[in-house]
Amino acid sequence: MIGDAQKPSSLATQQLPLLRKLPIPLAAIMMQQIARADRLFPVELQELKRSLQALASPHSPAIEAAVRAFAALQLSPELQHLDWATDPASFVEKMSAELWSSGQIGAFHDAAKLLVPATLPTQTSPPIKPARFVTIALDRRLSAESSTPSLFLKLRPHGTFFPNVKDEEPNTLGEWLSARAAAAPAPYAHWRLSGEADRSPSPASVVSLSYDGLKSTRQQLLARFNATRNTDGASGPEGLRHTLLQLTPEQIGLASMPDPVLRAFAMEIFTGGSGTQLYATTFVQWTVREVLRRAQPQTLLARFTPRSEATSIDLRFTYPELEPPPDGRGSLIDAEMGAYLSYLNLQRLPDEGASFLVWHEGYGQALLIGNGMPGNAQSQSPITLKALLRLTT
Amino acid sequence: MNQVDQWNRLAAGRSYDRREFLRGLCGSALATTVSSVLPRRAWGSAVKRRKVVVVTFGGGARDEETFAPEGQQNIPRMLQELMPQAAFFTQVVNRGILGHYVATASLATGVYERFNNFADVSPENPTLFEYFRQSLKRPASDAWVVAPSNGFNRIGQSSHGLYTGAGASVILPKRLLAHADGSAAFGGLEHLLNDNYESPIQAPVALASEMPSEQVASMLKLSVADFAAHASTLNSPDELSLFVARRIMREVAPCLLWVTLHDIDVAHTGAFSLYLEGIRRSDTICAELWRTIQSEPEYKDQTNLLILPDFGRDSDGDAGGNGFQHHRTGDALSRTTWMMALGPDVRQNTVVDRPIESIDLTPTVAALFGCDARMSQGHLIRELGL
Ligand SMILES: [Zn+2]
Repeated sequence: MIGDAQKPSSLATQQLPLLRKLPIPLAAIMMQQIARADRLFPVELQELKRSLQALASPHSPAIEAAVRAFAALQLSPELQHLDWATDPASFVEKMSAELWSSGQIGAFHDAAKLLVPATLPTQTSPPIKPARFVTIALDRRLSAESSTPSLFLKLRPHGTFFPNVKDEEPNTLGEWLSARAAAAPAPYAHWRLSGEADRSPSPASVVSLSYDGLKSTRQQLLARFNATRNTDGASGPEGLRHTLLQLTPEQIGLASMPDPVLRAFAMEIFTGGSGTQLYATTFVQWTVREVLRRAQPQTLLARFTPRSEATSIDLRFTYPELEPPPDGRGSLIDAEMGAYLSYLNLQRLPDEGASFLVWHEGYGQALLIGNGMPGNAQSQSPITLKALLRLTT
Repeated sequence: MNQVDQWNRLAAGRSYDRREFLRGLCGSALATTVSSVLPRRAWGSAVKRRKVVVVTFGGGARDEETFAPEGQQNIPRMLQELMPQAAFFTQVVNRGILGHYVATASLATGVYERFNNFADVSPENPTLFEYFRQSLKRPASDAWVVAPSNGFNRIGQSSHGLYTGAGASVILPKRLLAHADGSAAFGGLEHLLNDNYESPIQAPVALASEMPSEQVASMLKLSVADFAAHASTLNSPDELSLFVARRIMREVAPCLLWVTLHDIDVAHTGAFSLYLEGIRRSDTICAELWRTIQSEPEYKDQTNLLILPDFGRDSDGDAGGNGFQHHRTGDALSRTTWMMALGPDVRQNTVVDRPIESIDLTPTVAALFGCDARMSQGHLIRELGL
């Protein structure tokens, strides 16, 4: 058995005999996860545990097929002789480049997909209570140029559109989130993400991250990009990736965040996400994706606020403290796509019965997906935001 | 189902969507196999005067934001002005590495190049420019490339020993506005220097073979200062590339001109609105280039224009990607795109569903000039009158 609080080093030692029996590409990606064990959310650690157990006793045809698919990948002799066990992240980086150049990247992705069933619980676990709920709010400053836009077109086939939604209370969504967190407290189960710092404080049981709240961190990272590019003998993107792999949260001002898992998560949003350091809308969309994929929360409230206007990336690197003026019109388009991608990410989680609400606070338009909400439907009747939040639960 | 079957199935499904849409829009004659009904092209004097302009979107564009029904609003001029005169290929598949420099190099050599996308290296296989110049004994001034500066400085000339010195003149317009270290040489023009969206920083490049700014400016009959003054009226790097391409056509009139646009790749920042702006700008630029072709006496009625994205971008449905943002998954949609062809060798208003590959471009363009891209691994696109 693998203990939840196990250190990556001892977990690696324990699992090495198993990994050495696996095809190298599979062993390397498993080792890469093991090396990150102390940065994983509880759900991820459980998934890792289940995968390792499944690989240790491969009796399911799916696992056998996955192992065969990994074994069929051809690695160069140079790569095969590299030490994947000591530095799996660098190994996977090199392996990925080789799989692309040898035309095997698709086969690799297919093999990885075969492994997914092994990460899922074997018995049907009881449905999570309350059922998962994702709410996306679009700030009123996200606005179209002229007339009132017709919002959420890409999501409409999946749920019911409400064009007349009123919010009659000052902090409806904040209270909704707090109530859900109080009703089912659990680590990393309730999240609040935003472009701007929260207007109302969240209870301690809610994990809260914002683009503005992490200003110092992202600016320090931009300064590092700039320093790396101006270093003599810098080796371009590879050098940068190497630098980022070595980076610790403390080096970019995250020391004050007490939780080491969250500290690493916040860093990876900026080092693994592209554009998260430049645009608040990208930060929110990518963080929603990562929170859903990795922490699999019960409640997620995300708020898109205006991103800064498009500015030369070179300028943003040279002057990391530069915060250009907002672009409300572009941000609306970005946030609508962000909401759609967030829904797709929610769909990828294994449970059924989840709800998804997207609401524009300025235009009073909302779309609700979940129990009892037919797709391609519209409800003209005026409704309050508070009532909407209760419709599917 | 194996991966290739899956690609074919998905790509075919997408092509069907596109064809149905286009038929509704343009009433195009459906010509799944048109080669049998096309006249064989008359070789001889016509070939001598033949010119080809290739435009690639070196920023990967998806169907959803271009030719699919929901994308049509982003490419109004290609649909309304160009499509009625064009042959449209609904399935162009790229089976290579999905990085812009290596993919564009593969388009230009007709072989899936395997080098590191971020390395400062030349394509290994001879390029279209070298086949063209060496076979037809044309000067360097007759083959030009206008490209973004992120590594593209070596795109015109392969490292192949048989073609030494037969490459294209490569112009990286942004370099004319920047110091050697890449910083802006003129205040207020920083927005025209954006080009490294695939990675936050670029590999250092050796610029030994690059033409000095003054020499480029003098060939274009424009001082560097005048160039900067004009640039100050432009909104993006691709508008700068259009300006330079037109200037090359007016002043040098090469037979072979290759323009790689790159604004679309701003998608890597995750800002969907900026990606759409990039597509709309590319739409305008393609329409303007065709207008230029038809208004310049050296080009009018004897120039084929070929427009194609280097590849697509990740589909919304692949969990390994993040929708439009990147091209990391190598999924079927990120590998499948389209091509539009206009000009005297093209049967107008046709839609070709037969799958072709990105590497078919170079042997085909070479053949339009009457030369043989003998080391390319692509096939002739016979629907272009070959
Ligand atoms: Zn790209």
